[in-house]
Amino acid sequence: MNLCARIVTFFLLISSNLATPKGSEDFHIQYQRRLSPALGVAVTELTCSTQLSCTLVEDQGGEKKQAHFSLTVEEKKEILKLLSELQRYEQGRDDTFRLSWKFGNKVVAHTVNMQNQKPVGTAAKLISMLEVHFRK
Amino acid sequence: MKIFLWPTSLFLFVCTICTALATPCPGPENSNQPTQCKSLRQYFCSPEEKRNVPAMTDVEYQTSLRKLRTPEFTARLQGHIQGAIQEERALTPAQKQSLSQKAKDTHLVFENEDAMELGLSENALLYIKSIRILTCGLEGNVTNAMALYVENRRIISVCPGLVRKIVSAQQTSEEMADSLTFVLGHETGHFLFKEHEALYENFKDCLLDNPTHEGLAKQSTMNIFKIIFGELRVGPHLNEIVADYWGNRAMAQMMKSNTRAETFRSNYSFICGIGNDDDGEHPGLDYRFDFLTRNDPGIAEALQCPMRPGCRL
Repeated sequence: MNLCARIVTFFLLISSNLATPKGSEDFHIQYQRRLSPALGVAVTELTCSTQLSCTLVEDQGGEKKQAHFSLTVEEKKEILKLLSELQRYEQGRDDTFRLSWKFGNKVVAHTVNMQNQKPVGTAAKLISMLEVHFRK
Repeated sequence: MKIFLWPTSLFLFVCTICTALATPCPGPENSNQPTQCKSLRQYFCSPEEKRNVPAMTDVEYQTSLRKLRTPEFTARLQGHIQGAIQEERALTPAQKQSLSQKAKDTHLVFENEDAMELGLSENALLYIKSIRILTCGLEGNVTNAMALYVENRRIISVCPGLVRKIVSAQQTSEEMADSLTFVLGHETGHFLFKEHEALYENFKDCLLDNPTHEGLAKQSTMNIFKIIFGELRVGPHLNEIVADYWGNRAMAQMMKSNTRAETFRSNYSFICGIGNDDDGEHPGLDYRFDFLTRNDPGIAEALQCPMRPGCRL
């Protein structure tokens, strides 16, 4: 392999590592629902370690609700897929439902467009996947 | 030295005059007034007011839901909202009729099955189900409600968390309608604003002119800037202010037949939320309670507090 090809491969590797979250990173997702007619938000946070041991905490301003569970690699892949799908949709103008997530160095914030069925559906799938752990 | 002092003194003088002109004079608060008149926010949002949703068995919840789905519930609630519209002096008979019809054509969705009775498409039903997961949570325990349009229908989605918060097995359908009057009046108000924005031009102008709207601009420290940027502040809040206006008007109607202080307080406790700060769309709590709510003649009278001067339609 000549020098030029090596340089190109090196940069491709670097850029793919930056854009795609690696499987062995901690990750964190936070989302908030704006409460109507109230002033304030209900905030839920998911924190997962490299071993995919996770904690989900919901705070509506009263007692906090918590769930501890382990994610499978497949579930993590599905979460990543839904987040990247969500990111492709145009963002909403009001902050009825907002998410932010951090995988490694990559930080993303997204406001769901509540007027559009597709992003609402994607976000609902994601939230169902996470909040099902409150039921267990 | 004097050369430098003069412009500084002049500047300070101008600033003082501007600030004095823009600062509202304190109202004549009478010390004999009931304690709630000092701060409605403190009266409604007492520290013991928790946002926790009380535990309720599935049977109790289903029993409560049955009471919410009765004609008595709808008639009682519509009575408060329709009464508020009919009493609005600034509206012409045609405008009253139009608003009244829109309020009547609003559907309450407490559970996904309520949406299924509306003759909506499969996609629309899926959309409502998804919206409810986002706003109510998968378990439905979030204390929330939302006004939305789906296939040209006006829908108010009410989360189970809100239902659980207000009901107990002993309450009648009418009492439950009274307990949800502010929330549902507020959400109906969103439709009455979005479909009739032109009706609120004078109301908006009044809000811009009224110095007590300073509660809308915590980020601005100098009153002179508050006036200059009034439009920027009132505009994004108008939807929520109008929704509160209708919520308060419906409450004043409700209080003609239900004078229970507990019902009254619990209606407003839902606004207390988590914080007091303006979130960009909802004004701060002091403004909402001590300006908007106190500005309603019916509520001020029921509370035995002097009505705050403010804006009417």
